[in-house]
Amino acid sequence: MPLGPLSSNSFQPDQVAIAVGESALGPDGHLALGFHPAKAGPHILHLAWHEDLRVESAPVADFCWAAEILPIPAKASKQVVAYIRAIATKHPSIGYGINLLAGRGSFGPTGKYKAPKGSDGLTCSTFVTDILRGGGVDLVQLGTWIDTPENRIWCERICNFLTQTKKDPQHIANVRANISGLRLRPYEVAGAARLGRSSWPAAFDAVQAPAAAVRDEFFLVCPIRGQSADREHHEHVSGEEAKPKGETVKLKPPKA
Amino acid sequence: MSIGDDFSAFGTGDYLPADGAQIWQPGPAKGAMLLWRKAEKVSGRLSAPKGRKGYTKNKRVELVEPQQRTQPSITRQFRSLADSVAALLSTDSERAESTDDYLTIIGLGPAVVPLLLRDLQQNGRPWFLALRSITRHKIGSSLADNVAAHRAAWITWGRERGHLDHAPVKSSPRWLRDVMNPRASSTVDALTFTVEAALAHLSSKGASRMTIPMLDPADVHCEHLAAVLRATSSWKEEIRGWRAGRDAAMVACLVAGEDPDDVLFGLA
Repeated sequence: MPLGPLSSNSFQPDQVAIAVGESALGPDGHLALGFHPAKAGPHILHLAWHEDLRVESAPVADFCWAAEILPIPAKASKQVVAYIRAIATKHPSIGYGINLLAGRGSFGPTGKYKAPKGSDGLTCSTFVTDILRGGGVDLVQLGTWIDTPENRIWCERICNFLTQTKKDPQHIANVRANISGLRLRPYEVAGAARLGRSSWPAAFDAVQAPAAAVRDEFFLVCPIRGQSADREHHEHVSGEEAKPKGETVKLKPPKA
Repeated sequence: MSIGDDFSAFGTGDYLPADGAQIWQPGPAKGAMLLWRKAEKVSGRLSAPKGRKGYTKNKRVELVEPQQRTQPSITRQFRSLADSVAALLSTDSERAESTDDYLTIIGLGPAVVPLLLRDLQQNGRPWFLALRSITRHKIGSSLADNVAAHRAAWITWGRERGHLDHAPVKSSPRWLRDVMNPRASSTVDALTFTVEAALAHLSSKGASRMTIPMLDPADVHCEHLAAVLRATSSWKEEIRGWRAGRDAAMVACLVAGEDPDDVLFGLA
């Protein structure tokens, strides 16, 4: 199923969606998980930036997102939604970091984020894959990912943005020490999801074609508008205070 | 506990009317009919409707009128017969099922069903043929040759009819109570409560001190158990009983008519 515009009926309460958005950090997009919190309608959960985890109602005002349903069995899907809710209600504070391999297994019991040894944080993509992996859905085989010069440039850009947005110098130093050409791109995660369960965890080579298809479809749904794509990043870069127009909520645990 | 201990709570089930008259009939299947006739000959009991001929010809077992047959006497008789056939039943059930003692057990009729179920539950002896022959209840063909699934299905059936007690769960943690409620709702909201309770328990105890107890698949709601297993899968090497819990969930899914591959997707 191709990507469709993220709307109030893109996915059902017992389904999980992969949502792709625009990013000011580069041409590779931004990534979120779509789910229904208890009695709150469809939402997206995404790591917008350093220590900035967001739960926003769908559709998100002024931002174009596209989504498709994660192809997992219906019975398992309900359980994964329950797990995502458990994480989202804790609203963990998560650092933005680029060390691809060290970040696996970042979520402890009750959804608390705890960076594994050597990890400097997560990106929007590794946040999504780590949540799903914790819920038994292992999308990608990160050991097969390859080093590219473009990714190294992207890592440099992240460090610069962290500096410009006045984040903790120690954190920036940790991230800078981890600069490499390894990166899991948002379109690659969406492409891996599209491959389906028989291909999971998907290897780097297998993911590239569907990732390109997802990207093409995304630009059909969300044509470049020549303006801030991923507002969080843009606003941080420009030094403005983030003032999301979409409803950003801190979810409370549902009452038993 | 050995066979026959403390069966007083079970009574004779819902097969026997208050006046003690036997109303059961052999099953409609040809095989069951033949088996019943054979059992009838071996046991010689008056378990068929009055007016049927041939019971008095058997000399092996003394005839006892139904109204005279008390629960303790059936319990004693079952214990004796079951003990004699138990060893063979565990190693070669087909041979065991053709022995006189096994057929005599079938000949004891509906009153022995609670005893068979309790023995199946406690000792795991596969009294499937006897149960099927006496009750005419068919366990789903989807269970194939899965003995654990058959066992769980019969126990569930026995509980539904009041022959077996439900497992005590009052003192269990919240998540375990949800897991051990086969009739629990399986909505996303219900699963969320279970997952959150399990993660809270995991957080307070620590993975190495959390235990998923031995679960009887008949006691389990497979989706709730799967949700707990999924949420705790990152600690599956540390949580005692995690893998056994997955096996129990698999059987519970079969019993519930769910596809274990769907419910337990990703939980290898």
